[in-house]
Amino acid sequence: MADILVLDDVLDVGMMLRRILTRKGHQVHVFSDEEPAFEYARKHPVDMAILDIKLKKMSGVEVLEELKKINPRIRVMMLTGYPTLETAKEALQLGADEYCVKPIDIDELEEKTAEILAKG
Amino acid sequence: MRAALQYLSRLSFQTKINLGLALIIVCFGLLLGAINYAVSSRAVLREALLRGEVLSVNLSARSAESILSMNFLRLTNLVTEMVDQGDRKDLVYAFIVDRHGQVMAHTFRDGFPVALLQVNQVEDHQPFGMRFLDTGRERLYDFAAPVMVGSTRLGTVRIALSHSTIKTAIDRLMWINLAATAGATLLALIGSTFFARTVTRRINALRHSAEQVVKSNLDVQISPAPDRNCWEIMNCKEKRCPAHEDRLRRCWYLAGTFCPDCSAGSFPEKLDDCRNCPVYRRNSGDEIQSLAESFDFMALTLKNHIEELRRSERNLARQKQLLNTILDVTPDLVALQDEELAYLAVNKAFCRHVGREEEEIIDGTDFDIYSDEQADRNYHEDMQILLTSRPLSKEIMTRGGKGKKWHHVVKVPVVENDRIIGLLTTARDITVVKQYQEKLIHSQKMEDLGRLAGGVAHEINTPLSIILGYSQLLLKDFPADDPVAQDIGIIEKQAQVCRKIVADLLSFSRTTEQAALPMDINDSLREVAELVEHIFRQNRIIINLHLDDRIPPISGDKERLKQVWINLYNNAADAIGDDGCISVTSKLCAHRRRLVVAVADTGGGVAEDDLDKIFEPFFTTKPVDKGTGLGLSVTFGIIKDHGGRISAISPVPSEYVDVSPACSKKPGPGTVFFVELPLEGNELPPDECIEIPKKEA
Repeated sequence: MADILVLDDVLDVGMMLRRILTRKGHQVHVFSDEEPAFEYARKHPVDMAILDIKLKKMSGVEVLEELKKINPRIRVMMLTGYPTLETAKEALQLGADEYCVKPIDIDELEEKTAEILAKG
Repeated sequence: MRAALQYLSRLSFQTKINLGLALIIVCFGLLLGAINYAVSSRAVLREALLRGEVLSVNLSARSAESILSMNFLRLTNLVTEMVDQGDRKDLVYAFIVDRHGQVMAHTFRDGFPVALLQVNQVEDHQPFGMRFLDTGRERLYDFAAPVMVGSTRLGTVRIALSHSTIKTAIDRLMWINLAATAGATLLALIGSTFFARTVTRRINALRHSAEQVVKSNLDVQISPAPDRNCWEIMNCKEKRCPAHEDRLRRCWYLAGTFCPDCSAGSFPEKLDDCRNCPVYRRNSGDEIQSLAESFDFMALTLKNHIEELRRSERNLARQKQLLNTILDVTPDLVALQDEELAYLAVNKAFCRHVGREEEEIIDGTDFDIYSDEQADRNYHEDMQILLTSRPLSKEIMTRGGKGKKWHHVVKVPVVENDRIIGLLTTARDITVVKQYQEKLIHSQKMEDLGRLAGGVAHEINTPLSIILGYSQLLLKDFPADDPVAQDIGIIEKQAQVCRKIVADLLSFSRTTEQAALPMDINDSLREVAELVEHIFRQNRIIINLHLDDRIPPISGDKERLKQVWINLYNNAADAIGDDGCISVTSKLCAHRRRLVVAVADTGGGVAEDDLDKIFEPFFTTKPVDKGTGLGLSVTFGIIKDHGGRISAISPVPSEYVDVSPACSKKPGPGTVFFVELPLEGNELPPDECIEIPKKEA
């Protein structure tokens, strides 16, 4: 199965995503700060990242850009409570595979994750 | 007597002079004539008597010899000669008697009247005797002279002079006198008439001019032009002199003439300097001419004065008219009151506002115009201003037939010479400004609400997604028939409700970006109508589309605009309930820079006070559980995101009432929603759209 990195400033959201995705047999690593997440990504080649747009220090788009530099083959899903057309366009240009809006249904999340991983 | 005096005083001046002169001459003539007559008649009589005396004495001397010789023939010749002598027939008779009284000769043709012998006896020593006789036929002066030789008396001669002959001579004298008097009178009358006419003609000219002046004709000229003017006499070259080339007025009437001897004063003070001036000596006339010249000068001065007055009057009238025009044209209400608060002046706008004529307001007070309560309030306010001389500026709201009206009232005390003499009130209609203010406040409120709603929605989104996530996770862990799964199912369901509300709030708060793509408004309206038509038909609600095909494609988010139409259609259907029509109209505005979509229903309408609130989030007139009150606020947000505007009017104006037969049953006052969208750009053009009726209309 896949290694998935989750970065959200609210830890509870990450924990919930981990609960959902581990049920599907994925390895989920949850971070609420940017730096530990980058560090982890550099050391371990993760298959996919789920990013919030509004983070503690940087924006999700910047994190996306950085992650793509670390690992160009990484799959990314943006999951945000602040959807804007601008960030959506930017994220898709930078290579994000999906742009989802919180709250998201479990089924939809599982489905989209499976679709993204299937591409790789 | 009095009537005669009155008649005399009424006679013309000329007649009076003529009458007076004639009376004087006739009186003098008659008096002189009477004296002359008396003197001359006496002289004539004396002369006649003297003649009679001489004749009688002469006859006595001549007859003495014949008597002595008794020559009767000669005696007869003597007396006959005497009587028939010459052409003078004044001797009536002559006869001679001897000393015994016997007639010796006589001139009587019809026999001698014996009675004559007894009258007029003369003594010897008397030279003659004279007696006045009246024979009945005529009156005579009888002369008797004794014929004496020495001291012996021979007889008596008698002659008689006719009184009538003497009287004829005297009468002739009197007639000559009378004729002379009459002639003199006539000559005097002619002379006086000529004299009186020269005087009265000029006086009449003066009188005529005075009448003309009274009739306001001031172009009179009585005094004749002088034959030589002052500049000709003085050989003056000063063309700037006011008298130069002035042929109407004499130089001594003009102020500021340039003559070296002239003083600077004006008539009549300067006249003292003119008395020795050759011009004055030559050109000045008698008193009547002076009067005429003064009169001309007076008329001219009066004319100039009146012209100046008329000019000032015209000027004043023009200024008054200008002021009135300014006051009447200004839309502000203007009123001036005196210190007793009685109205002195008001303009047309004020009259219209209080609904009275200007004449009704002037001199009245507020108590004549307003209700007692209002007038009392005004009175205390106005007196306060008059007492403290502090101006007042306030905004007042009145409710009248035309709805709410706002006025900005300024009351200023009018001060003249440090004393307050009145109160000037101006009131400007600021209803439109107030409406804009209200709109601005409203849009500011909506903006704040949007920001708040957006903030809340975002903050709630994260916890909500966790609740929703875990509840869905738990649901998968329990079998569906487990009671725990059912409880969690309810949590999940309510979390979904919250999710919907949050999504709506986000739509309203315009934080979500729109996908701007070219789209056809009419198509989207039609699509949504088809979508909801069959649902509405269950409640017998019909959608009538009146779409303008000229509307070009606009740039917009088709899905979100469809949501707007769904919201508006649903809203209309909810307002109708059962049986009714929804009329959807799309139009281009006059300047073709924006379009208008009107959605009118035949429902119950919206109260005026609620019209502004219906776009606020969570405002609803529907019963509890029937709606969240977010539909219209979401619609508002979407339209605003498109740079448009949404407004509502209730009841529906006549031009938007659907007249198709299906809509005639149970028509309500209804509500019409207007959605304005710019055709280009993301902002509505500044010009008003005349297609949208005003709320007050």
